[in-house]
Amino acid sequence: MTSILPSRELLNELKLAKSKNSLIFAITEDREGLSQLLKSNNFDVRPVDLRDDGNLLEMLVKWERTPDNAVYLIYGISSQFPSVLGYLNLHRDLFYQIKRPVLMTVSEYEIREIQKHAPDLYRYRSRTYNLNEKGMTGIEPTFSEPKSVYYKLPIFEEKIDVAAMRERIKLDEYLLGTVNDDYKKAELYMDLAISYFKLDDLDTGNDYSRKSMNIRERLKDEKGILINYRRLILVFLLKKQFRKVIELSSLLLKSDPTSASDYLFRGIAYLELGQFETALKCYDKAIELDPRNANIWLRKGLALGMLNRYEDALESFKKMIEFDPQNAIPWQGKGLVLNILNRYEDALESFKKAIKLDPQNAIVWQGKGYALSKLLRWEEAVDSFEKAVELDPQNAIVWQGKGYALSKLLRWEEAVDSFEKAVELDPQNAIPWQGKGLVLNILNRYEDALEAFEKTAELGMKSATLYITLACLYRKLGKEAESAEACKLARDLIERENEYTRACFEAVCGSADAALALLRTALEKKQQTADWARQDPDFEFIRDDPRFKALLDEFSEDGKEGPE
Amino acid sequence: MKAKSLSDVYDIFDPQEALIGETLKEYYVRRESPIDRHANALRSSRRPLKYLFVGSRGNGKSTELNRLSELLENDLLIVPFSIRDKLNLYDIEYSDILLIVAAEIYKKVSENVELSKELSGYLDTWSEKVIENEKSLGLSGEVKTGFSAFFLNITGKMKTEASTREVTRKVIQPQLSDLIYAVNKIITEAEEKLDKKILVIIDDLDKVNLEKGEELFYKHGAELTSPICKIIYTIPQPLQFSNKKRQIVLQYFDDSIDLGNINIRNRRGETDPKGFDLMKKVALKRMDESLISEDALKLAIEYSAGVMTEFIRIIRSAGNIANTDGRSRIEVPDVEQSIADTKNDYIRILNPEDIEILKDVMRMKGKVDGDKFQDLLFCLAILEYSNDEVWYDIHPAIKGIIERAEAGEE
Repeated sequence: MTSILPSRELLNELKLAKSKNSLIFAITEDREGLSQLLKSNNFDVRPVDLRDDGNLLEMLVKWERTPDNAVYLIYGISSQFPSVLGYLNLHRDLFYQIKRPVLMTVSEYEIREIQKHAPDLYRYRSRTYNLNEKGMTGIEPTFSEPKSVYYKLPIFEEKIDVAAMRERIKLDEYLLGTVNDDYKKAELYMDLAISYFKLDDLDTGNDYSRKSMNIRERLKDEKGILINYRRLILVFLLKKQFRKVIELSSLLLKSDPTSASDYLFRGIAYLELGQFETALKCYDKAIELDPRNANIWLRKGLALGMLNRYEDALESFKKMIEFDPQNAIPWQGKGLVLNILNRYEDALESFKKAIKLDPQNAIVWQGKGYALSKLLRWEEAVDSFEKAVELDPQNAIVWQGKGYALSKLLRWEEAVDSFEKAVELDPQNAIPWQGKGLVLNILNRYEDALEAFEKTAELGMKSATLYITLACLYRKLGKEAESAEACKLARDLIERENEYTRACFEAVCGSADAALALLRTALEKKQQTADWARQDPDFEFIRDDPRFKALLDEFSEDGKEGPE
Repeated sequence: MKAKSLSDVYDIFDPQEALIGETLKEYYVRRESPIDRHANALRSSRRPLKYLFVGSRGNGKSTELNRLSELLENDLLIVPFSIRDKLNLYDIEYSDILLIVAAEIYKKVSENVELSKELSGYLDTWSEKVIENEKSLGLSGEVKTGFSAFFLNITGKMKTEASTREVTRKVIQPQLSDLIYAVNKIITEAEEKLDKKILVIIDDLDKVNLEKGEELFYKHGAELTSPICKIIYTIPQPLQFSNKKRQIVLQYFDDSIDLGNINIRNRRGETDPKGFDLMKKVALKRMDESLISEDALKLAIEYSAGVMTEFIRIIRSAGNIANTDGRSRIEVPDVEQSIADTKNDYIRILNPEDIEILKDVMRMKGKVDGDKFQDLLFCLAILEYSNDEVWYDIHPAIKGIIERAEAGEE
């Protein structure tokens, strides 16, 4: 706090305003200093940060839960311009109900906007303190022409709240009726355009966007025109209109071929359209123009991943980490690529780092669970999948991974539950159906297992393993014709399978000698464990053969090692 | 309670508070107000008079309307409310206003008289029909039968729920004549039973913008004036300068009540002792004379420009400044410091084009064409006064700046 006199007066006023309604403005660049000053004078400071899109009045109505010496310290109001101006102007009477002083810290720009566009709110103020070093007292006034203004218009939202969007439209329309400044009109038209685009009313959105552009062209506001185009690009990205994104970013690149962000937008659109090579070229160009932009490296990494160029993708993620080490996303990307490259230990390290930076990201927990599964650390894998499920309970793949890990821990019933959840969320995915079938088969629930495997086949899975299991189940349930048909289908595919699967097949077909020979090779090659083979239902028909028992006993010491 | 100390001054000089009830009795100072003249007309006329009420920001409109309510409370059944409490001011339509007017009349009438079974039956049938139509458009929720429950339910949601507003409009607008017929039946029966005319006073409609003001009062003036009771609508000040205002008044309203600022000086720049005296009384009704020096009070009056909330704020702020220094009396430098804040407010928002207009207004004491003039009027950089004629001047806090700007040119 550099201005001592206004600070003293402000402190005195806050004492007088204790437990009363009072709206005070303080122009300051040192909000933290002001907060400390208030605290050291025994005020209970209640900061309200409007940068997170919070609703100021909704926060203030809880004033009764605060102590008598509470002071609300509001900041970041410009992040909600322009709509907040109309909103507060029309709801300013609510400040009267709040029996705690409300101190709004503002910049010169913010106070000017409030004075102009929320005059009824401003009239309610008790006083405006200028706490900046020089204040304005004694300075010869200088008046300037209306300046261009660019608000921070929210474009990306996780979920579009239609009612809130309509309210915003109404507020903008109200503000349009109070504004004569063309720069502001252009911004309001653009805000309206964005809202209508978000509500999928493209015609009205286009009308408003054109109105905004027309004003900017008339004002020769080239910066504003560029900003508008970039906003439109973001809206079209949000609405997944990738051709429009390419069209607009190409237009911008014609006038400014050195814009890395426009190459980036174009790259994102091409990536979404599945044109990975073109996307990659865009990212390369963007990197050339802005080599330290972590976001571009991330996007490039994703594109390389799509092109199966995993080592290159890894390099991109490493670059992004170099420029933005506190960002969890490249660690996540790196982990996922390392998983693909079967470098599970390294992947695990990346996921651990990502989790440290962002413990609430379900994808990272899922990736960690996968790496741990591959490292046969099943207990830990289950823990990771459980965390992922907690954060994203609608993700079928995570349930599937959890089911798989649980089955490896022989926790059959829990595994069935997980697979059932996975098929419930994604009934068109054959893999969890197969997992469910496998576990049910082990639990001797043959009818249910058969149903699950039939569903697996119906969804298009064609593998020797599946047909072998089906053949086995049909046989058990006395459906010999179906079993023979499944055997026939399995035989067509069996040559491509490993020894373990072929051993299963021979066992189901009743060829004990061939089955045992193949199983020996499979165990030698560590394709499966002896323990797994011991309870594998496919070997049921040779289970009583003493050679089978002897073979498994021979390999059971190594049985702790899992399949490669 | 009169302020006995400067900390009392802070409480009593609250710019957020219009005078009403006890504070109106205690602090109000009689001013030259068109309200008195119109109060007589409202009291004596049997006709359902319709008035518009307009004034600049912060010049005491709400207090004057509260006073009007008190003046007429024995002669008329007053239905006063702020539209801001009932509706969403940035999403408002004429049918919303009529619905709220009907609801408020019904509420007030029900507190005072029992409606006939025949009328109650008619209103219940009407509301059931509306509920059915709303349900068919997807507005579900708690549906209570009966006119009273319907109004309670719908008006509670009109302010906050956009969906309720939309559906209600879809249902009400095509059958607006039914609503008007219903409310007029209530008015007729209540006025007869009470032997009193009804006066509806709608405050805060002046907060809508010009475009909305024109839409409401020009396009839908006929509907808004169709209830057969007396009504006063506040209107946005910009409408005063709209070429549609005259037609609005001629076609639908009986008069426009303009509440001017208090004259501190006359057009020639001479002090207006009446205005000065009035402002002095305003201060001294609220505070002990010992709390402010005479010169300080004079300065505060001068720089208030006759705008009531400005005056209240200057005194409050000067009181705090003196109190900070441990003094118990407001002196001239305290008021000067307070005025410096006001000056800074103007410096922040004025641009060179504004300065040119302000120079013209300062010279001519008259109106200048164009939107800019209106903008400056609405932000109180220009103030409207009337003695026998309407004239304009610039805010005293910026006079020095404009004079220096002119001198610089020369």
